[in-house]
Amino acid sequence: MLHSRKLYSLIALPVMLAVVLAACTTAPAASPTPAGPTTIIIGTTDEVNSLDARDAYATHDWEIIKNTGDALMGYVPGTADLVPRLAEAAPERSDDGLTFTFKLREGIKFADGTPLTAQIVADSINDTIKLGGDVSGLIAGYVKDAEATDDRTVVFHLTQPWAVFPFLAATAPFVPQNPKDFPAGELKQFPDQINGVGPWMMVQHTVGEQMVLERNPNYWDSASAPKVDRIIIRYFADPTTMGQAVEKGEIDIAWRILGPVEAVRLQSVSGLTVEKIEAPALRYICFQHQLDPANNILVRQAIAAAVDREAIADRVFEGRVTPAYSTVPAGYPYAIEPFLDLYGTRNLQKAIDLLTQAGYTADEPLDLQFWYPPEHYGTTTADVVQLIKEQLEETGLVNVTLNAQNWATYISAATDGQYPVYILGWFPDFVFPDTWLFPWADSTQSKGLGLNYSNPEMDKLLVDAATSAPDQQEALYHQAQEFYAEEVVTVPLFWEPEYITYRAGISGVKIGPPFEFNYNQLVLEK
Amino acid sequence: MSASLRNFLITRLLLTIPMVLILATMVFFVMRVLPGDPITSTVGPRVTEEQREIFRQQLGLDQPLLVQYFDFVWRMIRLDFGNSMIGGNRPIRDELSEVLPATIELSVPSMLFASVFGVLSGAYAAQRRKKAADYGLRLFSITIYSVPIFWLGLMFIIIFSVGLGVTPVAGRIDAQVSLTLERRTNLLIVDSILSGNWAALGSVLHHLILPSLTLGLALCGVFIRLTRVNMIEALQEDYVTAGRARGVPERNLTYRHALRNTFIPILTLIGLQFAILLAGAVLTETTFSWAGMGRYLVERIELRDYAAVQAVISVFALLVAVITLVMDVLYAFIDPRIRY
Repeated sequence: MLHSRKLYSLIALPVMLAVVLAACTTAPAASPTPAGPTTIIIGTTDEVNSLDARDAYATHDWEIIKNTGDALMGYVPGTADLVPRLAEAAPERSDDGLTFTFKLREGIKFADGTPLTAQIVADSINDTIKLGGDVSGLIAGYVKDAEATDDRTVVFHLTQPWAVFPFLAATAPFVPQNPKDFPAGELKQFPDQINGVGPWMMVQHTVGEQMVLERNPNYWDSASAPKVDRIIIRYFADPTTMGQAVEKGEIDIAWRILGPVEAVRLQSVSGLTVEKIEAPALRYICFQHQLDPANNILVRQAIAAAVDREAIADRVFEGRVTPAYSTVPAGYPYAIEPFLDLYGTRNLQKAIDLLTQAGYTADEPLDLQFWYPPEHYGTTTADVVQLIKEQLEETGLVNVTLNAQNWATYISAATDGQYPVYILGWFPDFVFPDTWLFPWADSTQSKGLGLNYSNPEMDKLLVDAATSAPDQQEALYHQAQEFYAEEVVTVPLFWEPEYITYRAGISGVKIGPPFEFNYNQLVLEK
Repeated sequence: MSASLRNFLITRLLLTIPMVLILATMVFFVMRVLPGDPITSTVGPRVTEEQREIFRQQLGLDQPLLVQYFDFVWRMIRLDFGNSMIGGNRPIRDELSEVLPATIELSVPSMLFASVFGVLSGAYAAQRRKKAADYGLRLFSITIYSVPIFWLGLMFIIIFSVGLGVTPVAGRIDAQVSLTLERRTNLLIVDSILSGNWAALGSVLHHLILPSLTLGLALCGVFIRLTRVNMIEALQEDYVTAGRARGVPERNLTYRHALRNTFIPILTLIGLQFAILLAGAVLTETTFSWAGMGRYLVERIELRDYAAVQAVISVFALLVAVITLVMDVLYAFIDPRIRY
């Protein structure tokens, strides 16, 4: 038999623990900020996948890399104005357009005092291509290699005379990395610290919990120096908890992905500011162009004409998304709305005419298998596709079968070309139309997303636009977008905004079209 | 330790090996039967087919399935779970060393709360059989067992954190206090004590209240009902009647004598509930943004990170095996009639 003393010990231990826990409830809800460094805490539901600029290819990873580093080019905060950053001026383009030469600013140092050299910049890009990290495909498509011709001059040799290259040079892979943190020749996705050339240095990272950034004492751009001492990024599992944390003051800023439901709720909480950020996050319908019936241009055009984006925005999102009539978002260079010109906001009669022309009748309607991931793009996807089904079936010539599939299976099957019609989302790599046209319309890249679209005329048009002189680009990119809409390579549906919520006393939140959040702009007035 | 107990332990430990192996084998093949793979789930669309093939080679996915399987088993024997197949391809041992302590730190207080509160409430209900307290506790146990755990957590956050402001919303420790804590074991309570950081200890315990209460309450319903039923039987035994006839106070009869004899089924339940704890931990960890193993497992299943899922399931199987073994040994400690 268990002795009484042992029994009581067994019970007393957890009871004592419970008492201690209960006693703690009298502690203040949010621990007081210790006097000392000024700190802003930012919450996110994103997670870190890789902090190595030679590998990282995710929005949050790029945000950290751009805050702890600077690229050769960059943007004026809150705008899409491209300006030199580590480069002292815009690059020189060779006559044949195949090389771009950047001259680095003088005296730039990493946070630990290591001088930045052109060789470090060149090595970083060559490693990106050679090591085959996630982002290597993006860079290798444009850059053959890089070389340092002296301590401050780096020359990039391109695969084609890409005019877009200065915009590409503003992306995270063009942030040079401190060789002490990221050794040459090997990827290091989770470094202990980052001593980069940006306004912040990463001093601590507990995966899945929090990351700590502190001012870089050697930051070269004193005009853009951080206005607080420390940024803590806290990682949340879901937007509701993050919303409650900012409401209670455990965090100062709730950043992506807060979602519309939580953002609307927080709008009514006093002391909080909720800002809608017009993010270039597109949702669109894809077609597998080699599969029946998506291989029929009349069917694709009929779908483009029958879809009512305004109704989707109003009925599913209560006006919180913006209907998309182009794959290139407004505010980006050369953006037009060709789908609006060709198909209107909705043209049901045109859709009926096109389907009739394609041979479909009320007795023998088009049987459309439509696939979607019910959870990956938020809880609204099922409502969106249900409404699209109703809109298409309103023609009286289409029967839509909706098929839901979990994301891992879905993306595998979709990119493998197994689905005739399916829905996807897209977020750009850089601020230029290429990133909105090439992945679907270029025959070498289209396969990657499962579209298998191939048209030599489109290929030539895209390459001509991307490699021509700036004065010819506008006409060519307009032509490419119009041809894209005519061919209905995809059907853009809507732009989904992001929301940022911050507490009173925080200012300096500037997130413009490049969708870059510069923490060094943040001000804390407490 | 007696020779028979030693033999029992050795036999049970040896039986753990095929148990873990069978489970790991099932997970290995089920994960590969599922559509999707870690490369498609994570790499960008601009990755060419050639690069995908390089990724497959790097991850060893180009090898025949049996070669992959035996490689996995051989590694597992050496407790080497390899590297994650997604993101930064970090060693899984490193990832588990971060998330496993978080889950242990959540599970142990939750189980302690569930078992202590459940057992004492069940005993009290039995003692007050067919009275208001009995009906109330029975209703409570059914209700709390039926309530979705994420809903319970969310309600607690809304009431105690946002409404009353007495508990934190999420996380394991205050963001700023965390900067002062040196992490050695990733068990933050232990780390706080080892480093004498009492502010950190207070913050960790403060953050532990709601998650452990949520998970503990969700589990305690079963304990209440089991204890009540066993206690009612025990209270009808002859030795209780004899004790009562001799004037032993009712409280002593209930808590000192009858309760002891109900511990065997309760210990069995504790062992089994630890296995169920994982399911509860997934939801609790998500609700409270607790960076633990349950959340990690769900994320990795979604991304088809075969290596990580295999490792987590194997570790959990080991944990459950060890806990049930401990419970079996405790039987003898509690009940001298049991001999090994």
